[in-house]
Amino acid sequence: MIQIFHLAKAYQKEKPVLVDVTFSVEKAEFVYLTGPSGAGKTTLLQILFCEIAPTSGQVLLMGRNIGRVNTRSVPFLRRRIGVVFQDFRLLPNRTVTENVAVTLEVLGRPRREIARRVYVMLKNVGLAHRARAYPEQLSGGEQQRVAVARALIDEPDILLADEPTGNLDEDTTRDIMRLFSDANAKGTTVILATHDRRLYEASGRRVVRLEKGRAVFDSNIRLDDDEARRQLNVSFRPRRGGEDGP
Amino acid sequence: MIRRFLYFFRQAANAARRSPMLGTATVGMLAVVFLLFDGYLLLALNLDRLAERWIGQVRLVVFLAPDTDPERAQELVLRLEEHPQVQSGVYVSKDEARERFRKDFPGDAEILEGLGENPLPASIELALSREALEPETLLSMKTEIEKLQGVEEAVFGRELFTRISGLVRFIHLAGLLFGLALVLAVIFLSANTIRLNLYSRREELEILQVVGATRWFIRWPFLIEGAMQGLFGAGASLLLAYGLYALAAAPAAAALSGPFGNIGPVFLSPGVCLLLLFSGAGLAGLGSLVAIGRFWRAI
Repeated sequence: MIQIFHLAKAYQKEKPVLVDVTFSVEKAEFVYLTGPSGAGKTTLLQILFCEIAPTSGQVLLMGRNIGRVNTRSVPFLRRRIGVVFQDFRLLPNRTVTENVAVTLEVLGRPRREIARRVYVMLKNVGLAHRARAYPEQLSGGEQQRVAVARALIDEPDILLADEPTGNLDEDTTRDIMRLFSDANAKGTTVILATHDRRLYEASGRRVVRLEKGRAVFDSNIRLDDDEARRQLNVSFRPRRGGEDGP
Repeated sequence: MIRRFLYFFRQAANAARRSPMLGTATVGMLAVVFLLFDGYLLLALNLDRLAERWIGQVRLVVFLAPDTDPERAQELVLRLEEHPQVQSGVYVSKDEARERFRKDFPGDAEILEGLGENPLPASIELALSREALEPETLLSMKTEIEKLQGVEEAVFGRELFTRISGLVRFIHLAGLLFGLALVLAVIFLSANTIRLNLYSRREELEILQVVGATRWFIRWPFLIEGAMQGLFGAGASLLLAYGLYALAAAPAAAALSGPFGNIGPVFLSPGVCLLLLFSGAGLAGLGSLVAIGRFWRAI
């Protein structure tokens, strides 16, 4: 679904954000992208979302090399990707319904279909009773559920989430994670960037850890699999007593 | 397709509802700019009509030499009527000229009596085609005709004619400049409003891009909003212009009734009004596109 080869990004020459990142993600896989602040998680997601171009390296997204996708085709690629941000990014002067509907409006779906699908989606995320509310009238958790509903309503192939629970309490975080898991169970590939180890430690899911722009850990690669490490160019740092984990 | 455009119209209407002051102010400013242009067009149209009326009455008068007999004069009439620019020629004998003088200047009739022999020359009055009524053409015709045997002089109200032709040209040239100024002003005003709108809705546009909106999907509502402002601005200006015209028409008609016959002022034709409305929509829409183009480059 996603193949990343020797990806590098530098906004300034002497300060690279991503140095040499290589890994791939299978269809319907759920991957946690972890690492401290400034490790390059957001930049990697921005590249996957065609928001910024890499300095070097290649990314194959659903079989397309995003370096070769022309500007006009980017929106069509994005329609197959849902994105959730830490700060929700809702339209402040539109209702919950309108915020979720925007994804389908962009696709030119009929109004009746939009109304039906938005209603079903809002029920799924537990916000049907808040359909006419404006974002400022919602709690942080509710706002994030609206953002998730907006990202998932057209059943995207890929869901990218950048610290989606960064501003939320534990209970709300659990609700949001359940929505991601549900989407993943239906076949959506999920890449979730977070530095919150509580999210991924007990999940049993794949974890790729970035540090200073490099992939330093990938739970899919076995310690003794030198060939795989060489091919993927992942510099590996093994766990030591759980302290230095991803 | 229709569904999509209805959506764009709704978005444009929603945007206008969200910032009614800005939209109204823009329509007002566009109306003032268009009113200036409407005023110019009205003035130009009516002056043009007056000038045309006067120019249409211009005759090239060919005075005949004293020894030219009436037969020769008739020959000349036939010959001059063969000229492609001449529509008709009328021979005015010496006696007819005297009668006209008496009729036109009844108080001065004794002057002719005192002179004994009729001093007025016979002439041929040529009505010319509209294309010939240009100072250069008239001059070359004059020279050509004066070479004919039996012709003493060919005259037309040269100085006045040149002035009026000059005035007509000036009006047309001023129209070009005025039109250009209008185009720039409308584009600038509209672009400025849409630019403010774009920046105030920047976050929204980013989100639209996130969910896969194409640039045209984002452009259309702004384009429609700008075009609507232009349409309403131009429409309001026409209503105002018509109001002012209605107030000024009667006194203007009274002032003009004497020297030019019964030629009252007229308002812009429906075609011109439609053209102004479309120009308003088109130019303001263009202004929106300019603003959006600059916005994409800036963000």
